Amino acid sequence: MPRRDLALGIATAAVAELSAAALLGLSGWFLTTCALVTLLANTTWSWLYPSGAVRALALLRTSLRYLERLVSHRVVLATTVNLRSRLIRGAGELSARDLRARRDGALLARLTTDVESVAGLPAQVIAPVAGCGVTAVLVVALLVRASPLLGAAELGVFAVGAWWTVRTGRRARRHLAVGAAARACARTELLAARAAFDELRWLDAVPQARNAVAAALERAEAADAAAAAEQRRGRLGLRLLAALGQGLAPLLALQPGGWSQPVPDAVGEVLLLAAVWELLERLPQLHQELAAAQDAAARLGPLAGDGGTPAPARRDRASEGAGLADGSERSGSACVVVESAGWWSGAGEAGADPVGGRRSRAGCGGPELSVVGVRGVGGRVLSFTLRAPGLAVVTGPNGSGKSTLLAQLAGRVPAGSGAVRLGAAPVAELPADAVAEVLTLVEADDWLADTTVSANLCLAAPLATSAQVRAALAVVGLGALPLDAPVGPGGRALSQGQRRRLAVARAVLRRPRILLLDEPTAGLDQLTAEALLRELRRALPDTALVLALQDQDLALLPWRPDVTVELSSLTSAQLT
Amino acid sequence: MSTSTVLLAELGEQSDEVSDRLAEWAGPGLWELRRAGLLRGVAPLGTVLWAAGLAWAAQRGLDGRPGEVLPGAGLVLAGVAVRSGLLAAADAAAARGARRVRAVLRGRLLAAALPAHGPARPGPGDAGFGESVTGEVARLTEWLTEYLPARTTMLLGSGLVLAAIAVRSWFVALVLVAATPLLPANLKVIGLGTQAAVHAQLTAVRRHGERLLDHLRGLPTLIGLGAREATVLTVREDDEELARRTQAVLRVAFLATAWIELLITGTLAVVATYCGLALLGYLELPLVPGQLSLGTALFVLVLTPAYFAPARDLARGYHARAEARAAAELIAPLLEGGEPGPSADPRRSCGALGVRLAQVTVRHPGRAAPALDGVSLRLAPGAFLAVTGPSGAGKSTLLALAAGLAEPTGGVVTHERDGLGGPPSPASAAWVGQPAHLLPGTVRDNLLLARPEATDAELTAAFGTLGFGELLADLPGGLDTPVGERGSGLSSGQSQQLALVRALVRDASLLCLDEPTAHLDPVAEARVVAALRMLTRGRTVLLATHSPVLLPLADQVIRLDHGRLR
Repeated sequence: MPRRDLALGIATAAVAELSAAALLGLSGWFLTTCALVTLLANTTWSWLYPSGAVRALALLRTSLRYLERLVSHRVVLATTVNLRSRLIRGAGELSARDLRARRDGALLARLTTDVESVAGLPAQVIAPVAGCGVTAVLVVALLVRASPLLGAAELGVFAVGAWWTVRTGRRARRHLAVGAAARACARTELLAARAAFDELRWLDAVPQARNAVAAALERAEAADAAAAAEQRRGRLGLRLLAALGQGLAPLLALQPGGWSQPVPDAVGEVLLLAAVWELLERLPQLHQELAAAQDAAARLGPLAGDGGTPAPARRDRASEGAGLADGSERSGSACVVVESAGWWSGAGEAGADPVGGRRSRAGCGGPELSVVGVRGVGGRVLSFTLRAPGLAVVTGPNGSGKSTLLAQLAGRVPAGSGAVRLGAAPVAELPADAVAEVLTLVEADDWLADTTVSANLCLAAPLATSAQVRAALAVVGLGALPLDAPVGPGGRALSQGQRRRLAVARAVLRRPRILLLDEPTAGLDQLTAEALLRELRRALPDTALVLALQDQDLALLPWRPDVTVELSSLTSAQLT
Repeated sequence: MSTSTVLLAELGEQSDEVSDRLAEWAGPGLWELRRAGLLRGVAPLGTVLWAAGLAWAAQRGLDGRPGEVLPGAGLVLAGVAVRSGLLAAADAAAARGARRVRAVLRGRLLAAALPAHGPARPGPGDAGFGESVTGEVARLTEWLTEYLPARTTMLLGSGLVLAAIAVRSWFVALVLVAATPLLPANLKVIGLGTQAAVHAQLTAVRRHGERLLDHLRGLPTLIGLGAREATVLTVREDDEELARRTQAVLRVAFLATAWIELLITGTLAVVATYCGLALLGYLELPLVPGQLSLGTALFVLVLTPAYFAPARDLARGYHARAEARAAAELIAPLLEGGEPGPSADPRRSCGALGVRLAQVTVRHPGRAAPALDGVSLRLAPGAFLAVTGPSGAGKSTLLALAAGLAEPTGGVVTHERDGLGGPPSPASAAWVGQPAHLLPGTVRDNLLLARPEATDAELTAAFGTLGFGELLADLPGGLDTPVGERGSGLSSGQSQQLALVRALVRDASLLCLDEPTAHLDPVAEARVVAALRMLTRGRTVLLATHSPVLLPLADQVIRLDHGRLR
């Protein structure tokens, strides 16, 4: 945050408010003094200085206000940019699952509305509040000096005003939180309904979906209206208190008695008070903005990179896994180690992996991905090690955890009771960027940017030449796809098979040491699928491949896998 | 009063399209908004009372009759209280009016985003609608509550204050009237200047929002591709451009406010000096009254800011108006076309349905090769047709056309029932696409979309009919299992099976199945095959598949290649 700008903003705000109040007060005092001077026929009094001061205050107030507005907005904008960058970087620290669990609509709301209200806090709330506070304190000090009774009375009224502001502000805050949640919900439901629009049409459920969004919007409106009503109540209360405060001043200052003051002072005081109360009318609004910013900040917390709390837990699990892993490290002479741990029943078959000896060339120290004691969906425990350029195939029925296992291998999902290690380190504890250097995962319905084919490919390799890009497309059999064809939002301008293959091509461009593909052949006809697998190996001869495949697609593989992990939802799983 | 009229004429309603549109949108709340304007216009009466009380008290104090201060103090108190009451009532009325306007507009936007009939219009992105419904409609609020009533307020409020001042000192009133023409030219110029800038900014905001959402969706992927820093940089660039645009707008926009403040404070200083000199008796100018009482001087001095206050509010409202116009230009394209009239809807009447495609061609925007190229095909009622062909051959497009979900670029699609042809209606089809879309909610919510009146027993029975009883048993919460956005929480295979159950619950006479076994293992595939055998009885079926297991179910198999029948 640009602190110097903020300090400047606060200072200009305070001086501008002060000069605004002083302008009115001084003018009233000046007039009354003029009248008094005439009355007393006092010829020594010079009107030039007060009148000059009035003009100077007028100019000062105008220019300071302008400056204050510019400075405070500069602070807001700079803070927004920094905060947003930080959040995106922080969002990267979250696991993919955490990120995915956040609904799209909520995430967008976080990064737009919430960021703006948090970033606006210093300049648009703190600076004006400081201005109000400084002015109120100085005016009360002036009053106390002129007349302790009046000063104390006005201080009391100000205190009641502050209490009232906080009270109504708290109530409004509850309504605002409800409104913000309802709005995020409406946005989410609208996005989901738009995505599933074709389904809704044949289901004849479009009105239902529309009503759901409308109901969420109506909830947001109702909550906002309640908050606005509370804010109006706050302002009304403050204005009535202002009436009391301004009524008290002439009464106490001009009534005969021990506390009466000169008429010019009394008039000046009433006008000063009027100016201060006009300033304080903004307090409910400012309080509400403060509350909204605090709520937003609370929502942003997990994104801002303070989400590191699960790390110790992960470490515990990892050390547990390390204990289990001793066996596999000792038998590390074999390139692919498939090892049973604990209560897994099929241990014998694992050791008998018939193709275990084929990969002698992998001993050249490529990155090693080892799985130790990871529990599958069915409660069975998996252990194996894969080195480049090996091939592991994960099969199993739907819901047996193929995608989860791949996500665990990529460190995007915690490995439960066991450990997945990349080289020596648990993959879940490595920085995401470090994992990305070695390993690339292509998910089943992986994300494509809403740009062109070539821009999508360049995400993976910004420096790739168009020849390289074309070569990567050719590997996946999309050589005929024009490079500048738009892929549409969510890749919807392409067919499912094209989407998957484009995502694979993007991964190929990175030439990762380890490549994990989730059902790359689903939705492809047999010829295309076979060609894809064949070309993939040809393009990446030194890469360890992990493929999740349907059982029926196993026949498409042109060569035998080194490791086959057969998942099943039953506990009697086997690893062949 | 003429000055205010001049001001209004200068500001004038530009009777262009956007203004008309905004005026039309404001219609539902107009009555409340006018009331708010009137109430706010009357509120300066309180200020006049307050000024009179202050002047009374000061004059009595000066005259050495401090015992009579009490009525003055009471008048000060009463004046401020009257003003607060009127303003609170006005704000409440304005908020009610604005809410009504927003509700109507949001309803129209939703109808455009999710039209009850006909396909969703391509073009505006999903984020665009989301942003409009929640964000841009709210941008109209300030215009509705501040700008629209502000004109009435200014006419009435400034008029009242000017009249009160004129009663006590015609010269000061004249000074104020002379200062008034300095307002409009300035407002006009700056308002026009900001509008283009505000529009550019809002367009940038939306583009930025779409990019941001897109990049955030892909964040796990982007990080996996080692592109996190690149993403941070891209978004930061967008953000900084946005900040630059915003600051350019603000520099100009704040000038308007600064100018009005200068005018108010300057006039205040002039009035103060005049009154002071008059009180001192130094003023000896022809025609200008040189004598004033303290009461009069104070009264006119404190009412001077009150005279300009409505103009200041109007200036603030003018920016609100510029913002509303810019938002309107973004909202209006989304509303265009509106709701097509309800088509004849022979939904779910009994009897089998036939489909006829005559020389149908489909071109997707931005693609040179057509997705379907002159395809003709007749699907008799009760027939079972399988479509094969390589990926990208146009199978999905063909199914969407037959279901009435898409419209052909050329050629005609008809649904035939009892020998009569009619326009295709999606409501008479059940369609299972790839990927299967599930809405956020529970599994039950998703199934009830197909038939809202279905009971839990019927839903469970539907699982049983398809042989998916095990799937239901595997779901952790049964029918109450929550489904996240885009089906998260379920595996892709589970989503696909649920989509099939949903199609069964729908009980439509035309089934369009797009790769129904793409995500199923052989056991589940066998179950689906068995289920389809039962399901297809008495129904017309169009099936796109690669799976050799499904092909024998069909009466006829056709092959598509590059959008043509082979």
